[in-house]
Amino acid sequence: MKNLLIASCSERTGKTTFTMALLRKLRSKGIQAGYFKPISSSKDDRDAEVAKEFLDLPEDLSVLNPVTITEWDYDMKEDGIEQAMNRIKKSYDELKRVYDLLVIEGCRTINYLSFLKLSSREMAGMLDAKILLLVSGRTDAQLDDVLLGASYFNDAEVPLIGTIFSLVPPEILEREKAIAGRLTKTTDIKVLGLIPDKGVLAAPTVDEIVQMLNAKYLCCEEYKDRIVEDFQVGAMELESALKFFRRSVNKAVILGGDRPALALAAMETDTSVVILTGGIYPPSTVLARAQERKIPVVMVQWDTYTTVQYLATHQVRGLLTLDQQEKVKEWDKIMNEIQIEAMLESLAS
Amino acid sequence: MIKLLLLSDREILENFFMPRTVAVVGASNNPSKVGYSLLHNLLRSGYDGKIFPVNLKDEEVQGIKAYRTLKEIPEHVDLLVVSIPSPYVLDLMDEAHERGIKSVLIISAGFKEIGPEGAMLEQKLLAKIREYGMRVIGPNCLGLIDNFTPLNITFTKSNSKQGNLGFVSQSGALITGILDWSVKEDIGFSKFVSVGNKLDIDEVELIELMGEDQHTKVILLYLEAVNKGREFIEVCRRVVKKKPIIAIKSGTSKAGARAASSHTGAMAGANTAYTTAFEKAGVIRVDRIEDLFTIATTFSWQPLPRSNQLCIITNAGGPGIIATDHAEFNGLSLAPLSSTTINTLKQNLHPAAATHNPIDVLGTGGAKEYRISMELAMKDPNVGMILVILAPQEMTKPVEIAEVIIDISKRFPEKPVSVSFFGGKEMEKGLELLKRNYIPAFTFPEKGVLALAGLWRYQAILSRPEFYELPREFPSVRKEIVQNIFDSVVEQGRVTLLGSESIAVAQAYGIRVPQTETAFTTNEAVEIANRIGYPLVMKITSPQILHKTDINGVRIGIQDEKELTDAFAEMLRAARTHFPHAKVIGVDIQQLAKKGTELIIGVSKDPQFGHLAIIGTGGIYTNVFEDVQFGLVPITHTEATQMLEGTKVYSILQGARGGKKADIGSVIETLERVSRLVQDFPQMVDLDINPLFADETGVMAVDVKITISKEEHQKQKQEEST
Repeated sequence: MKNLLIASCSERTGKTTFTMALLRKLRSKGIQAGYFKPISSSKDDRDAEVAKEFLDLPEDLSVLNPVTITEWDYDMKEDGIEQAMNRIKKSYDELKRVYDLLVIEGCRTINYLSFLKLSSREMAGMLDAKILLLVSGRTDAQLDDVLLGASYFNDAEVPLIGTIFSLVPPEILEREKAIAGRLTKTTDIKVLGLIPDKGVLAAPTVDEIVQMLNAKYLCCEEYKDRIVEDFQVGAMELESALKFFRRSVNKAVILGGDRPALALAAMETDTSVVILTGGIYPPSTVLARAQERKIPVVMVQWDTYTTVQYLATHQVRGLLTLDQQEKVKEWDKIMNEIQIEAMLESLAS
Repeated sequence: MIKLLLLSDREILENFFMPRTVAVVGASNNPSKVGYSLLHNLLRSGYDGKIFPVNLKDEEVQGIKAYRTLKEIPEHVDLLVVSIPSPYVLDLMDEAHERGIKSVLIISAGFKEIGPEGAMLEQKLLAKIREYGMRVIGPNCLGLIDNFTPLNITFTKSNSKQGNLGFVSQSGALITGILDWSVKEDIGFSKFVSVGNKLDIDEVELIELMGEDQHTKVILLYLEAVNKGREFIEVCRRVVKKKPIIAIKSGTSKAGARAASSHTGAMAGANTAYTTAFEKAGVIRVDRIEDLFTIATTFSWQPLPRSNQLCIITNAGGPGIIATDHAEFNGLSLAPLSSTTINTLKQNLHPAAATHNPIDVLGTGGAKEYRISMELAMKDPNVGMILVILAPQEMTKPVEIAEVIIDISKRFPEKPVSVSFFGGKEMEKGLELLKRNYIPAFTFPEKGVLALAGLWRYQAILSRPEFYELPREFPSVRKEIVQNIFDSVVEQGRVTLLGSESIAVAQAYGIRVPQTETAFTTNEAVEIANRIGYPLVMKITSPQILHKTDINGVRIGIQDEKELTDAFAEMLRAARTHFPHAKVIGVDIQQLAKKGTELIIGVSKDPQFGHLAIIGTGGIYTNVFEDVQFGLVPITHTEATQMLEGTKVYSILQGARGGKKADIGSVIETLERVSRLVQDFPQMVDLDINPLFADETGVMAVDVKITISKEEHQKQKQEEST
């Protein structure tokens, strides 16, 4: 039985989705691999639920994710901590019996809950897991994260099998590969792969956005699984609208319900959903065109500004689910580039 | 049955106008129903084919044996007319298919014009007729008329007179109005079609059909939107070589566009695109319904002019001057009369008469003066067309003068004539007589000018060199380079190109560009700079940052490494501050080009007509000067030349006020190369070269922006692989 803990120095590096894709890959190779998220940081955390569905896991959610500890639980008593650890152990024992390889998803960042001695570092020690460190590859400064993480785990003698640069802008992918080479050369830390930052890999679906905004479908609900990679606000002159809308793909366009001509222009371009604000019902032509173009049109009661503010402050997470074929396919492609064999070798040694 | 399945496309189309048998589903005995009017009009139109009313309840409809279903009809049905509620139309198509029916006129409303449910129904209908190989006019239309068959399947009240005008209209109500008016005005039609929602057959096929129809001499269009823009242009260009096409496109004002879009559910394109498209198609565009008929009747009655040199013959000064003004507004010139004409006029007219154009025979001028003047104008080789104006003076005898005009016109049939009998009651008889003799005659002189100007516009279209010219080929272009760049951009999940990528695309099509490379670190910048050599230009590059100058993201004239490294840090910091969420930010290091006259060459893809190109004054004030000319791709050498010549900046390129003359040939060629580029890569939806520097040594595209469509790109790839 081998255990691999996926940890990250910062939030929103795509840990959950990467974990799903990795497990899918391992299982496709015939490895009996299971998912485990010992601790989540919120009651709303759906990671285990998504994993159960995506990987068709037989275990109860209470086994896959036995403990939740929020930021407001740091005053937890000793016996509470012990209880949590017992529950984690109990789940782990159950999973151990079934799987040859357990992929464990760390909670938030590498040091979250370290005050309570429940961070990824302690988890790895307790569950005898090796670490795979996921870092954001937006700029070259991620190299510092890798070194910080390495020394953090090294202090506790938790072995690090390597790192993966995630969210690498595709435009500089080749450059980043060279930098990865330099890292391995100077530090001995293996870079096991790079994940390009492509909207399609992490994008939410139309329906996920609709649920979050509590919006109402006016038509074409059947296309609710289209992905949304970008948001655009329709507040321009009609003449320049096409040019503007064309610069973005798979987008949600937010505009007032009283601007049907703009909605029509948006639908001429690659749009996934039109979000009409102000509770204003559009003319039937807009909905007829939406039907022709297979683009859902939804309505919210808020004005455009409030809608945009809400979206900006409540980032939607796009989770990997089986009904998003395009996304699954893209991830499969990415996983083919990740050094799985090297990973497995490091785990075995 | 087997024979019927082998109908050609042309025969299926002709069956709409010359069917041997017609079935009317929904034919009714109730005069308040559309199905009543349809059958009623068909019966009284003199149609001599067989008619099969289909009605579930009645055994007889308007005195003819009715059938409960299509199945019961004993003969093959050439044309099926449908006037039943929209939800039942789909099933009817199944029955029609079983009977091998191919031509279907759907009058029924309740499709995409009512909203998403209707749109869905219409999509299903389209899928069905495609599967069955049927052709459909409508739905949501008024019907059609062919006055030579004869056949009238409309639900209008008015009759229509036989004539040689073919009319296609996207509005049903407009048709009812025009038909009623045409009866009063004695205007006749060959064919009249209401196209409704244009599910299948639209103006494109009908123009083609009317183009070959011997009874149609002029084609008239009322359009709210053109869906198949490229085909429209292609077909019109072919047809106008045989007969003129005159069109009204409504929804050209901003408010109008909104009204049109909510009217028939079509997205009205930008007015510029329509103007340019009509120009390219050789279609004569008018703004008023009345003008449509003024010009159309003139076409059907008068010959085409050999020149735009107008001779005005009048008996009053004022109307002559107004006509002169309008001639100029409409692109006509006043003919300089030959000395023979002038001298003969001097000998024969009153000494106070004006013998130069406009010829003023004075208030005392009568039939004799008009006869001499008109005959001389007809014989004068400088004159291309004649406008005769008559104002009621004491001596005026309108009927007598009308007879003179008719007589001369008959004797000299090669020059077109129009007439203004400027008055009211007194002029009525003269006007009537003229019209009966196929002389376009109007009350006011402006209209007389408009009528002749219409003829000239058509003649000018026919003699355009670019009408017969193919776009130039550039054999050394590197298609594969562009293909690779687009592939990698789409693979990276982008649709906008980085500056260096755009530059490379332009270069692959032989457009001169400065050497450009992208740096992401200070060291890289220094290395590139050493390769290119100072002085340099630096530009922020990021797929998220489009207006670089707004954030001080362009530095020109970087002299050395110190300046370079300082600027690099400053620019990146500024970009990070303004665009904290930009995924990637680098700096394009570019060779400094010698500044020339700043031009813009751009292309934007119109949803209806495809790539619309512009050329004009460039630089950061492009939007302020608005000195641009438009053209539709593919752009020929003549078109590119004319576009450039139409701009104000053209005179600067020519060396206005002592400047050096720029290499104009290279500017024109750049536009042609851009046209070829977007023709080869239709996935390009926006391209801007701004500025394009032009000087005496040639041109240099220093900044290029390109946006492609992912959808189109994938479609192109698919087409290529199959």
